[in-house]
Amino acid sequence: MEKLKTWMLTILVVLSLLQSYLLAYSMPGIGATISTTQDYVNTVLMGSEENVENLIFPEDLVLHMGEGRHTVLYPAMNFYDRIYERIRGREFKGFQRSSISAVNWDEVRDLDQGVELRFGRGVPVELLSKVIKLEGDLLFLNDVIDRIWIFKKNESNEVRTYFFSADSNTVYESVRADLTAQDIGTYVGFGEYQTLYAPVEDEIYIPLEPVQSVEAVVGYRSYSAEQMQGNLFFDPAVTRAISNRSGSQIYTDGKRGLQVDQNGKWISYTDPVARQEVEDNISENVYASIGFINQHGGWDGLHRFVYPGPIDSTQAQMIRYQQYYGNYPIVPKEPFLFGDMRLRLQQGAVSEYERSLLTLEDRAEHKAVRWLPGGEMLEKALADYARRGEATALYPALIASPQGDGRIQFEPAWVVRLTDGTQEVLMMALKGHKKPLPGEPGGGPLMDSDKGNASAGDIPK
Amino acid sequence: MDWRRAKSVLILAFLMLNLVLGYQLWSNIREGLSTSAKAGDLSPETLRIMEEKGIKLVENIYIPAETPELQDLTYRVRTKLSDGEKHVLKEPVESRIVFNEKQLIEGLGDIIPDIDQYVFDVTTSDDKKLILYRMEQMRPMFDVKLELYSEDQRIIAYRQDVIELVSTEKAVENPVLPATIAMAPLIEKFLASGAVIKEIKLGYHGQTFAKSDIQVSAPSWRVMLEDGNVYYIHAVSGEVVTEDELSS
Repeated sequence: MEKLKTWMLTILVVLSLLQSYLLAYSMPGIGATISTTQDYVNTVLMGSEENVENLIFPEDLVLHMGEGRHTVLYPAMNFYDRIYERIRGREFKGFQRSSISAVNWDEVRDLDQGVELRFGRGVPVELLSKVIKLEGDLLFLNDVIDRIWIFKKNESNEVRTYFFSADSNTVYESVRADLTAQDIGTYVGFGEYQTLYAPVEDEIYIPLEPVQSVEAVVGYRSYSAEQMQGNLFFDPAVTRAISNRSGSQIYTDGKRGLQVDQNGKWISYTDPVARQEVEDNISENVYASIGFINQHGGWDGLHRFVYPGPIDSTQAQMIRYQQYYGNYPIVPKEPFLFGDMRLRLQQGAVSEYERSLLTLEDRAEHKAVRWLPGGEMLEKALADYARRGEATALYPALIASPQGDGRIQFEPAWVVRLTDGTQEVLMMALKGHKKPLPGEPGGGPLMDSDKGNASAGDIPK
Repeated sequence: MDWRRAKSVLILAFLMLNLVLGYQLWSNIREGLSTSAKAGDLSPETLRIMEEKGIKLVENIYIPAETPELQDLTYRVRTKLSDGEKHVLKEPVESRIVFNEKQLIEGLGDIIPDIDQYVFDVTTSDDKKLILYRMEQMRPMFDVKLELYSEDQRIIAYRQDVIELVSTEKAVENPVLPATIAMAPLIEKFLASGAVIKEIKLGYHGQTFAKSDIQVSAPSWRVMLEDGNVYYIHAVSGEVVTEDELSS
């Protein structure tokens, strides 16, 4: 009997050990499911980080000096910075909605002194409120603003502030803005010795005299596509490089893709994220895109946020950040790809990301003054422009083209922006480095010419 | 010490331990053997969200319980369906042969290249267009299709992706996530209220690059909805992808 019990006990002990063994090794989750050969990828920070305040700023400032005299200031110009800094220090409260036709804007433009901050295609108020102190109701906060106009009534010295909705029908007047008539006087004073501009249709201003710009040849450094790949993929160990027909590389892990173009100078990253069942929000997408760029590649110099237009339910929003060189936006000469960062986002998830891998050197190798034509020559070019009806803005820009052996050439030009957001060169800068004299092509009007424009003749010298 | 009594107590104790372990082991084995799970096998949290959002599975559907080890596939595209023209058959053949592999090879084997590699998919086909996917290790490659155009129960034309697998040394086999776990984020975040899930299937899917001949496909769960929407879930990482191609 005792012997039997001993045997039984032994068998039971062995059996329990066996079962425990089987259980332990068949249980899911005990073995590591994903073995990564490379566990942690150090994020190489390529460019610097940015935040939203430095990416939203007006495309240009228009100073209305009264008596039909106007001038335009561009970003990073001394007076632009001084005026914009001061306006950013002010508060705008108590917004009242009204129709754009409630005020005769042509009259305000020509008679009243004032400053107009123009945001190109617009800025959502929610984002603008991070840059300028605003207090308004929800209706206002959900709108998109493309201009702010602050002016001083000629007769009464009363200061009025209007925010223009991008729908071009609505304006919001800030009835409690802490700007004084003296402030306006100071701002306008900054424009006293600047080139005069004359308004033409569609809120486009044309300089009466040639405008000075700079051509430059700048060296660059380039990040390797491998660096970018290591930075964008979770697990570089399972990422493959396949080459496309033209011989350049595509990296993919089966879900994400990274295509390298232009001999490794431009990348487009694609990650087909599924659409989520939450509402899309432009501000959230902008924050997400800035965070994404901060982590994946960073920023090279000044960039300006370009509003993608209202949310379209069928397509994700393409957010663009336009790069600046000096005071002017960079427009690449086709087919060269440079200067913009483009991201497609929905619900804060990045599905497309395109950017250059080049970083410009701090110092230009060559710099020279060039003159952009003004006056009649520009006016005529604009009037003759085939897609004049679609042109919504005219501004000086730098046309970037590659120059071989690691350099980029920037050449000044007048660029028009069309209603769909594309930029086209209207005319290049004048040849040579000499300022055209009045009466010469691209130069200002002759002093004694009577062009019917009252102020054209008396340009302060 | 009363060794006899101690022995009896120990026997009793080990007997009970063995019973517990045995039950555990048995239920594990049973779970592993069954190829399908029911909706009830989704986590209680997921089930709660499904109830809240009114997401349903069609009746008779099964959620696959398999978790095989699969690797990414790299392949070269020889002919692309989307830019290839429709090949019209000289002699139309009966449509029903798609259901039988042998008859299919007999009927179209001389005309359509690699037809033995393609298997009919009932969920994506309709009576005008029969869809077959190229199989790899018994699983469909969702990006590699053969479309048979049918009229009056007869196949009259076809379009096809012809590919060739490329072996890479980098491919690593990884166990896939069970469908019940992979589907949780899809149900929580992506599916609209009232969505009805029609089918869940394991296969291969990847982002297609128009500029490249070589493509990569990763093991993916394909979730088809009654309204025709398709979601892919990367079967190793669990990320959710939509059908639309982004890259140009």
